[in-house]
This record gives sequence, structure tokens and C-alpha cells, in this order.
Amino acid sequence: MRKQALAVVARLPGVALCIMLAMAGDALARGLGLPLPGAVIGLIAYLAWLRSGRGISWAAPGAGLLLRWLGAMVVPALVSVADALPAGGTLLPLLALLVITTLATALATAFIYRWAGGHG
Amino acid sequence: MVEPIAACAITVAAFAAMRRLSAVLGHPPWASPVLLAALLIGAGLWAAGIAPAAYVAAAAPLRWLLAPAVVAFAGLIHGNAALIRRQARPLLLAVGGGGIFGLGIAIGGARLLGLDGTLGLALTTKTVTAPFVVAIMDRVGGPLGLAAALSVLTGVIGAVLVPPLLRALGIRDAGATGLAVGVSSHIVGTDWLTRRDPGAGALAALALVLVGLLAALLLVPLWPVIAGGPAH
Repeated sequence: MRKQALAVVARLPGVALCIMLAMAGDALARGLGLPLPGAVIGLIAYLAWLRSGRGISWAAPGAGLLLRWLGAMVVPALVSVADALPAGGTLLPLLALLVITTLATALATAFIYRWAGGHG
Repeated sequence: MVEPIAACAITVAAFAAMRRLSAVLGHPPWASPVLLAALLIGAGLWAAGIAPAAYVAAAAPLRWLLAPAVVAFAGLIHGNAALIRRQARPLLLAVGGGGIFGLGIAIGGARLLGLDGTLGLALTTKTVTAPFVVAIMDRVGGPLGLAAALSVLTGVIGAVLVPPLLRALGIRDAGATGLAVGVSSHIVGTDWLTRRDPGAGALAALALVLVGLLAALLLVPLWPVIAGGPAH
């Protein structure tokens, strides 16, 4: 019980930091009219902080927690697909387009990487 | 009326159970926890006679957490900085080229198949990860809900189909796999890959963030052309 309580406490600072950076980024993007999502500005700020080597290891457990549950956060959007998909004749071309473009994009990316000398 | 706390708790519980199932099965691509959890919840809503829209509205706090989760990707990228630095040139070329190709064929394909109007506009961001879709559509006034749904559906399709396709073509290295999954299948694919291979997952995370940036920088200024083109 004590161990679990400690694990929760260890994750709070990182979660709080990520929330605050996302909100600050949002305020900045809105204030300056930037075409960027606020969360990206938060990501860049967090990355710059990490790269500066000024010690931010206390945030790692919380950041890891958010990433581990990323899948759960997009489940509602997938459930809403049932309502969002068009009925009738448009459905099949739409699904075909989604499958073909997704596979083609993956292959294009992998081949460009190889062509440009990427490995490992 | 669905209570937000109940909708979020059920979503997290369903996802946790399906992730456990996926781990027991050895993380096969077809057992995507996101897909299985959505099917489980969809079936539950249908059995209980609850409209999916009521559940989706109640689960809004989970969507809100997507923004802090994007921030958290910084840790994953930083942890793999050495790998990224070693491969900077092929990495940027692959993500830039693959990302522009993905945006282009989505827009071109929609025109070609006559998928216009709101659906056509929502398809422009199919290769962009959900939090960026929300931000871009919010900014240009596009169809936010439909675009986010198509983005996640794309991620599921990619997470299920891209790994077997790459394997069939003999592409097994972390670099090509990570970038291909990140650019084409963004969050759902990256979530799956990170559990299987953290190094490849970090490259996928970097790729989805860079494609999101590229899309925001290209689509926001080009939106009047896309929305006002022959599709309307």
C-alpha cells in the first residue's frame, strides 16, 4: 500500500509539468497567433530543458505514465467513427482510400530512409 | 446522460484489459488494444442502448490529456538522442518526403474518388496525429470531430497492416520501421511499436511530431486553396 502510494506521488510532478507546459504553450500559440498546436511548443520547451542538462529527472515517471496511456486517450475518437462514417456508396471508396494511402505513405517513408542511407 | 468519470474509467479499464490481452498474445499487430477497446466499448454501448455520441462527449477529459501526452514525447525523443543524431539526414529526408507524400495522396486521392465537401476536408489531415488535427482544424475552422475520427482510424489501419507489410518486404530495422509507422500510423502505431521496441518507438514518436509540424506549417496557409478548390 505504502509502495503504491509512493509510486503515485512519484508520477505527479511529471504529469503536472506536462499539463502546465501544454497549457502555457496553448496560451502562447493563441496570444501570438502561431499556426502551431500549443502542445508542440510545450514539447519543444520540455526537450530544450532536457537538452540543457539542468536535471529534470523528477519529471520522467509522470511523462512515462502519460505515454503509457496514450492509446486509451484516442479510444473515444475511434468509437465516434461509427457515427462519423458516411452511409452507403461513399463508405467503400473512403475505406479503400484510407488503406491505400496509409500503406503507400509507410512504404514511401521506409524507401526514402533506405535511399538516403539510413540503417539500423 | 453519461457521467464523465464513468466514461473515462470504463475507457481506461477496457484499454488496460485489451493491452494485457495483447501482451499475452505477444503483441501481434492485429490485436491493437485501441481497436479492441473501441469495439468492446461500442458493443457495450449498443447493448446498454447508449448513443456513442453521449459516451464520446462524456469521455472528453481523456481527449484533453492528449496535449500533455504530446509534451511527454520529449522524454522519449531525448532518451534516443544519440540514435537520432547518428541518422539525422536520412531521418529528416524520410519524414519530410514521406509526410509530404502522405498529405498529397490523401488530398489527391479524395478528389480522384469524388470524396468532397466536409469528408474531403477532413481527409486532408488523415496522416496527422490527433492532437495536431484538433489544433489545425481549430485554427482553420475545419471539420474537427470527423477529422480526428479519420486520423485515429488511419492509425488503427496502419498499426494493423503496416508491420506485416514491412515484414513481407524484408524491412526489419528499427529505423525504417519506426519512421514508416510514425509517419503513416501516428499515435496508434507508435503506441504499439513503443511497447514492442522502445528504440523504434522513439523514432516513430519523433516522426509523428515532425509530420504534425510540417502539416501545421503547410495546411494552415494553404487552407483557403484546399477548401476553396474544385472540391466545392
